[in-house]
Amino acid sequence: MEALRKRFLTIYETKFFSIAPPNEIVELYNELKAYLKVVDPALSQTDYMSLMHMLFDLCIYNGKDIEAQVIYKTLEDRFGDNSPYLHVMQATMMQVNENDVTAEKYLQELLDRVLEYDTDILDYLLVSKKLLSIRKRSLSREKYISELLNLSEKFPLDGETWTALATEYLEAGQLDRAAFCLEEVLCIAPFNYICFAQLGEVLYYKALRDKKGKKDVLQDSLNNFLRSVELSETYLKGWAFVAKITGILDGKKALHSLAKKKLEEINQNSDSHDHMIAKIILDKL
Amino acid sequence: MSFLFVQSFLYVWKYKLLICQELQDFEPTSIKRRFIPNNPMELASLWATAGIGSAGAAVELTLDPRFKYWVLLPISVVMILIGVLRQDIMMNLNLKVKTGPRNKITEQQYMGKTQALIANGTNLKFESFRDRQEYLSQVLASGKYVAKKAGGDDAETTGNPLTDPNMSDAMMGMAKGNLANYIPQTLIMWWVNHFFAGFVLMKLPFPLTIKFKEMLQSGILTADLDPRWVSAISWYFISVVGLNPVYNLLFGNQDVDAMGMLQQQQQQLESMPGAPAADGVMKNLANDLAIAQHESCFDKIEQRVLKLYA
Repeated sequence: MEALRKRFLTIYETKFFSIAPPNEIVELYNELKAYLKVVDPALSQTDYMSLMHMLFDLCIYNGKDIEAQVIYKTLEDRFGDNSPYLHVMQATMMQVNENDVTAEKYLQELLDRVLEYDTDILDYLLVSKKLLSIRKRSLSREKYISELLNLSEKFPLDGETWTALATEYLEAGQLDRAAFCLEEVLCIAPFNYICFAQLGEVLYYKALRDKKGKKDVLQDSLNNFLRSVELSETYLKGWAFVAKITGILDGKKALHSLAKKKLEEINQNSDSHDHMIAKIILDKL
Repeated sequence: MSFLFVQSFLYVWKYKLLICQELQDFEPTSIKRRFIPNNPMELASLWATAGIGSAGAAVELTLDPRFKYWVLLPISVVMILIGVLRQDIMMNLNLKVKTGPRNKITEQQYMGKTQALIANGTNLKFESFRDRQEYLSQVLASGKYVAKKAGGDDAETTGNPLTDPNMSDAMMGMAKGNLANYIPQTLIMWWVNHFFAGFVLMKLPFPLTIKFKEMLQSGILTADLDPRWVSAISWYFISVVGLNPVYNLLFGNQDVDAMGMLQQQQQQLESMPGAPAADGVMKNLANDLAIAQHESCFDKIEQRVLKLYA
């Protein structure tokens, strides 16, 4: 029971379900529903509510609209309608039951008339992000980036906004700006090894594209990858890029052979997904 | 919980009446029967102790075992129940989420960002750190992100705390928190003092020096009694200080942590009476940032990784 509880709470905290493949989402939905039916005595009230929130999202992903509505109403009865997460849930239910325009109008009015003058530390930010996610499809990239920049100016400590900006800049080919946004994330989350690797990757692409100062940029990129593997020993992407970059730069033989050794270890000891990728990388090196 | 409290109170009251009744039927023989041991071995021990007593040690007492069940246990149980009740009250008092205008949060976020840059700037290369250092120092010193009131004045001009709703809320919050602590403690202290004044409850199983007499024998005016004997009011004081681990066990750490985090987040919005003005804090932070030294985590990273894994 404890292992199950920890697993679900970790999935909730990392929001893994939002990027999981469809079959895993269905599986997770069924497992979570069964777990919440069996009363776990060690599950605190706060954690229970968090898992209910995750079940709501999973219901939406699985097309279980009526069940999602029931969960929303249950949480609304418990917390009232003036709560950050419930504002977002209500907008989601509007998207499901009515359309995006209604949800967008509701969120915009909430921001302008209420939250600009009276908000807690979460409410304005969550509602703004939900509004942006709905608008994203209808906005041009420039306009979307401009909206994200506005939000990051109001909430400079929100890592998600900076990561979204970095992704947009990367897709637009503006690598320096993407690197700047990732550096902002590293100031907020200093042990985020994935972000170190993302920054290293952006710098690697920059080095490939711009011939000027190629070696220095590659060295910066290598430094970021090395920091990522220093924080996480089994991080496949980190070791792969370390092996690749040390193969290009001169005088990095010791690091190159270390990276290859680590890739071999990952190839032998990891799950099927990492095993497959490590094998392909080793073949290419 | 209230039912348990009332029940224990009634039991203790009943016992108090019994004791009063016994005191009314006071006879020297009944006192002897209560304090002088029946067992010949204990009697020998008593004589031995009395012999040493002339050299400064106290006479051994024998307590009625009913003291444990009718005084020691009720005081402990009531203290724990009051602690649980107090925790519930504090949770309910703190449930109100602190809110404020959005620009106030932005102001707090920029202060947090500066602190984050000072603390985590090691994750950046020198050029990136320097660019941010220059920009943030300039922005903070100019007061660009200091929250403005609707009228356009600076929000942080010192006002009358009694007319500002945010400040009076903060003061009421502090007052309610203090009252939730003081009122139950005062009531229990009165209860213990009223019903169990002068009671000797137990003997500690380890020797103590004479200095502990004041702590452990409050309300008992006997100069010769061994410091190991504990009075009722002293047991109350010990319980006040020593029950925190029991509360941690009862309430668990997760909820406390969650509440702590929530309060920490909310604290950013609270403007306590007498707190320094935001523009002053920002200027101080700008100075701190301007003189911050940069040391990068990338220095000697290759050697570190080789040493760690090779």
